[in-house]
Amino acid sequence: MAKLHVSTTVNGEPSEFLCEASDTMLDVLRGPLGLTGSKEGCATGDCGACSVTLDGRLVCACLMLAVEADGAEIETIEGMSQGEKLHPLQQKFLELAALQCGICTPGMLVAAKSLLEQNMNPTETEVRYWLAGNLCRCTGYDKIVHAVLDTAAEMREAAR
Amino acid sequence: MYRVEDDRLLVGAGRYVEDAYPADALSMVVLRSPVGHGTIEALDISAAEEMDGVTLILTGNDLDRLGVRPMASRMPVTGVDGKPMLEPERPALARGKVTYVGQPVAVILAESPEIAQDAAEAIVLDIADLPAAVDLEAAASDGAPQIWDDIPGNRSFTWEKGDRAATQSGFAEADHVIELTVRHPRVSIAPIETRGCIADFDVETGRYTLTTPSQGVVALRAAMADYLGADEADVRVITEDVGGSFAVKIWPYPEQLLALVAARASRRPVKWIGSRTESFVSDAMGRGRVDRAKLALDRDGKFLAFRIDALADMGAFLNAVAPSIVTTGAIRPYAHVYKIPGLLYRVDAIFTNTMMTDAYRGAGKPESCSTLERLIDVAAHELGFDRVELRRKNLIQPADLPYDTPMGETYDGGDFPAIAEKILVAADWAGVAGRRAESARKGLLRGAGLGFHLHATGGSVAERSEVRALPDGTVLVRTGTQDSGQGHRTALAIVAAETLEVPVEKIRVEQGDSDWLEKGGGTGGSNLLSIAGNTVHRTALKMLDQAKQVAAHMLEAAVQDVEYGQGEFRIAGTDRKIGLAQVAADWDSIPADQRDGELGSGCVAQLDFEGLHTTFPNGAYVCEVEVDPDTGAVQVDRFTGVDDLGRVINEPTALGQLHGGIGQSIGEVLMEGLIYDEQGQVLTGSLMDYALPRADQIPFMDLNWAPTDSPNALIGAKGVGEVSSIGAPGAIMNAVLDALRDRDVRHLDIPLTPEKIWKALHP
Repeated sequence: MAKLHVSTTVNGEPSEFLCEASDTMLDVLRGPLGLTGSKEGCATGDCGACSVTLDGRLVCACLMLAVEADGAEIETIEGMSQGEKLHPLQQKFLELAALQCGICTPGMLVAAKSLLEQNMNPTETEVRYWLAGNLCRCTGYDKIVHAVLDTAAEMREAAR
Repeated sequence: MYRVEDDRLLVGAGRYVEDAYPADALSMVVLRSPVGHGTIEALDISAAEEMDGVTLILTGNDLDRLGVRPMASRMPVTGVDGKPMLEPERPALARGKVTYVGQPVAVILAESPEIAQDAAEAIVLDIADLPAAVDLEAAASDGAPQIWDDIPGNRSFTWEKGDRAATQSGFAEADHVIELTVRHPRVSIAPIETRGCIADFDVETGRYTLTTPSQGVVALRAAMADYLGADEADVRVITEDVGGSFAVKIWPYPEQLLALVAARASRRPVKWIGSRTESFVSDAMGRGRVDRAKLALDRDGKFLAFRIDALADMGAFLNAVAPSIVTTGAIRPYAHVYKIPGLLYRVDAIFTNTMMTDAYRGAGKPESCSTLERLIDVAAHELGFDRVELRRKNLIQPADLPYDTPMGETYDGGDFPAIAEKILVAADWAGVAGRRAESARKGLLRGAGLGFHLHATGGSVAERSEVRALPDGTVLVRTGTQDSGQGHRTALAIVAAETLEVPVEKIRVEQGDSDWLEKGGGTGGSNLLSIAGNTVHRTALKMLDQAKQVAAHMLEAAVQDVEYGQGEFRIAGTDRKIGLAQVAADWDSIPADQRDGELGSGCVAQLDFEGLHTTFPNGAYVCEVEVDPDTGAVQVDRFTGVDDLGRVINEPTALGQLHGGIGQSIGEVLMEGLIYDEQGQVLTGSLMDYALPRADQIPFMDLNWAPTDSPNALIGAKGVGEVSSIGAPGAIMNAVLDALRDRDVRHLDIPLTPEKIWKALHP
């Protein structure tokens, strides 16, 4: 069967690729597009290591067919910093050492950014529930949740 | 300071094995046993071999032809009867019979993973089922199905350690004896990165290269060379970023060995990335012990003797160091902070039709520690002692130090009564009653649990470190240890920067290529600082000593007149000086044949670990939970700790280690548990079935320091990696059971799931 042609936008840049109908977005990101920051931890949508946004909505790239990207906007970890300048969440993760092995970190950051885009003033409980889709085996989530709350506070302050 | 690891990891630029896509690589898929125990009646690969894109299929029949040796375990144990342990031959691919679900039966090499998977499904595998011995206690009992013909009773060995006479007299003299069986079911270690590897073989040089996550490339090289029948020099192992390990990626696995063999046979690179389900059935697992425990007390509550008669679930074979985990791993700190004259541990190592167990963060110590802490709570409750006071009156006192334990350790530091004081304040133990009443008003049962802990750090002492000053002003440190998220590069950079009196940014730490160092025991037993920290410090001093000779030569001064400080050599009392970087540059510029022999080897030094490697980090934890009696659900509400890690080298990374171990302990005690059915089928083969703790299930933790000196620790740091995973389970168990105390529940086996608790509350 002929491959399918997809036109999409990845991290703000127009992007085109050919894929099989059965390819997941994660397959295409990591393979043809060379964006290996999104990780495969389970391929069943349970770990969140492949979290990306599709038209601003948080999704697991492993559960999304690549053809669904056609005409849509995809954001991945690779688009989070602006050149050398880290996103405030990345900066806070750095300051608090809110990561260890780093395998869940891209998905965790993408998910946290998605939360703050919808809710600039989340409670601890809201942060924990929002991030409950992203498994981390190293940190016990302690510094991750602190980093998200602290970043939210600083972003609110900066927006005043 | 910020972790030096994080710049790359935060922007998605980490490099894990799954991120490499070597050109021309074949994909490997493993066909695994679908049953727990059976005889292979037929294995027909002919249809699969014919499929387009399939290049090679290997089965157990190919192993001898290819020179692949059995994967013998690497830590033999001698039983209490003086006989060696019994070990079945473990082929990389099943031969004749299968003995656990997930056992590799064939590997398929193809142009894509999809083709290989299709081919795996085209293989005809006909297995005649045999009765399976799955449950540990059932497998150890009379009449259980026999897994191996020449291993009666499914027992590899029986091992014992302790003072039998003192233990017997302790129980004979006791006013009270409390008995309790504490089960530590097997858990999946489940790092978020699954196992995987890329194998290559260079036909020109005859050299294998294995790129794979590990906890030390040198030990893995030795194992692979052994199983391949190759010289170690012909095997190179590379480890890049590791997406979590907690011991599971230390061991040599059949997939790595088979990928190397397939690469040699195919003359092409081979890539294998395990799926999450493969992880659940084929990763070495943690825990798997049943402790029948007894504590002897006199009428005042003084502990007289403690013994565990354990059954240890080895799985179908003996994994790499598994025999040592259920023996010496279990007893090194054993009664941890308590002074108990009679100590005994006895274990039967039992084969079952399951995947093998091996070390998991703590390696035998979480089981022993939490068994005793649970037993103390039961004793306090049943004998009418206050559980805090009962512990305090049995603590080893500072005046007892150095303290020789009946198990052969000598504690070199610690102040356990001070820990007790601090934890009660930090955790607001006095406020428990008020919070319990508050919870009761909400219809919830609050429980508080306390547990002390102590670790005897260990791991391999085969560390070699290298320190090299470079002309650009940086210093390269190489070590045989291996990071899997702990922040080794940060910690060792701090150690080297202090020793060399240079900014920490000038230090670059490298690990992960077996071509760099001939020796290296790898990471395990919380040994980074006690072993590699020690060795890096000494090696840096040796390098400075050598460089001083060179500097003296260049300054045309006598060596004794040259002093070092802040990255510079100076003739004492003058302004004549030369920087370390300049010494390195000038040394490099001297042709090798003109270098004066007295100048040694210039600005690079290597040293092996020497000294006492065991340190004794210790502390206490308090956990508070709320149990909903209507659902049985447990929420951890508070977690407080006081830890004596000696000197904390970098607080953010040390805290992170404690946080992670507590998180894993909450998982182990409340929700995890790898479940096999009676035939040996894995019922928890996905993250939908196997619960890992998530962000809404772990509270913020309040952790505090109470450092004491450790003469054994050259740089003052006692180690941290496994401390909380040893100490936290007892406190969490005790908290949940405390919540159920007034409901006539003496003990429940972990995991303390809502179903189990609800049933206990509604008998």
